Amino acid sequence: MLMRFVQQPTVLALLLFVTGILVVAMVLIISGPMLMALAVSSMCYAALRPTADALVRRGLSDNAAVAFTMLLMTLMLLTICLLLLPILATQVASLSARMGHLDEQLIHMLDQLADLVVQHTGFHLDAASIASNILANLGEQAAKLGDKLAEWFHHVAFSLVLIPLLVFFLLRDYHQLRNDAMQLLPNRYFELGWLVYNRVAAQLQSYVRGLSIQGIAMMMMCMLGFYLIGVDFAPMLGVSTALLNLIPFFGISLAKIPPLLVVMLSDDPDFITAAMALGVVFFAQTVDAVLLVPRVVARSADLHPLTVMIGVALAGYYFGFFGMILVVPVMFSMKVVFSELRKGLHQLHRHAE
Amino acid sequence: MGHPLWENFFRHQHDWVYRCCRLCESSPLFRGIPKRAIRWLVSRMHVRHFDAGETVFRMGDPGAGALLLLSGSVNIMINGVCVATLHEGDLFGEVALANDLPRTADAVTASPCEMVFFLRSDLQEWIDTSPRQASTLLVNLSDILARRLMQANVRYEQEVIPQENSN
Repeated sequence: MLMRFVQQPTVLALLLFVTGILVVAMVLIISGPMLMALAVSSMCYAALRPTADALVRRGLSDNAAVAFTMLLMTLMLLTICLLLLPILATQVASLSARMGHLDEQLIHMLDQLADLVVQHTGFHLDAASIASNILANLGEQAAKLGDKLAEWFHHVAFSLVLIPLLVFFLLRDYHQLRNDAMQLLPNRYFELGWLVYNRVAAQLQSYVRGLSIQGIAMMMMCMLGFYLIGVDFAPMLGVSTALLNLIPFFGISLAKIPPLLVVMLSDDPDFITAAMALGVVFFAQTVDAVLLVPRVVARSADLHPLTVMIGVALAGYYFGFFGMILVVPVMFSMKVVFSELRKGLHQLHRHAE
Repeated sequence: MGHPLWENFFRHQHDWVYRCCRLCESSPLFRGIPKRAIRWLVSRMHVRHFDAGETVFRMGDPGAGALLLLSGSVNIMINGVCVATLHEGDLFGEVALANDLPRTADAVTASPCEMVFFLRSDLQEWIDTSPRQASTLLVNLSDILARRLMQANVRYEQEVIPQENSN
């Protein structure tokens, strides 16, 4: 009776799925200190694989293609660092100098807003007390962020050594590692395993491609918009807005914070520029919601809004900012793996009867 | 099972890769494909061992690719009747290379077997990497499948139609 229940495709798929999740969780706990390096290496692998494949197509051997790709990556990183570091250093220095005047600038902007409100509604706003409340809150958050940043930079230093090595071995041996893992499957489920893997990989690739298109489009729109209305640090703001916008639900609000902060820290902060900066983000988000999400993302990530909201809230609580960005791809992968596993087992079960 | 990281330093070619390359070179599916390309392709295939009497696949199962028999023999059965026995060097299940159609017969090993899976995903990867060489294989595949269709038509004409007429 129990055996018959367990052999039902859905129950079997659920058992296999839960076992798989436990194994993955165990691996994640064990590889905790290296998790960031592993994640970045996987992303670098996904980005560099097409280059290595293109070189193989041009007649290079696998090893030569991998070596050449790694050389290209190193040269590109060095060039970017040499070009970007001086600009970034200047921008950070200017930003930190302006941070000292944050209170004055915030009061100045709130005064402008209070004048506008008094003129049009007759309602009086106490700019100084609002500014002191905001600054107290910001100071608390900044102290926490400082601690986290110190820890993060420690991770980055460790990862910088590890990532190139991991990327090299992934480019060279990923196929072999994957094939060896698939060899662990019993004969009866070998073909099914490959079918499930291929379907999952295809769906995930399409989802990640959709997310990348969404991120790049958001970044370009915001960057151009901020540049046109004269907001400082337009490229940096474009990137941060695009990244924050990737967080489902909460990202819509979070993405508006960095441009607002930069306007407040500018030499002459005014309410009109702040409103225009918000308008740029709002316009980009409207284009994103109307054109990009339905065409490139939503079709592949078919998740219920309530599931996503709960997932994002929990991931944010347990894993912070990156957890909020990564939770949807992870939930989507889990859904695809389970549904494909169940579908495949149903097919096998139906034909066995 | 080899350990790839360790093998990076002491890499050696498996015995089955040599045997499989030799068999592929004489198979009609790989006619006109350079030896180097065959070796590249074979290095991406997957070797499996089966006991005697073990089911390789059942009719209606989803197929992920073709199989090449390296050693042993396999019975191809339809409704429990053996319609063919395959031996070393024979390729079967090629339909799955073209599409994800279900298997059209049962395959059960008649003796302990060693066989190699040539998966549709590996073929797809090869099409992306070397489209010109892969097109030769696709032409060979369509040739094999067309011949098999013709044989089935002839058999239908010779065996089924006379039976229907006599009834």
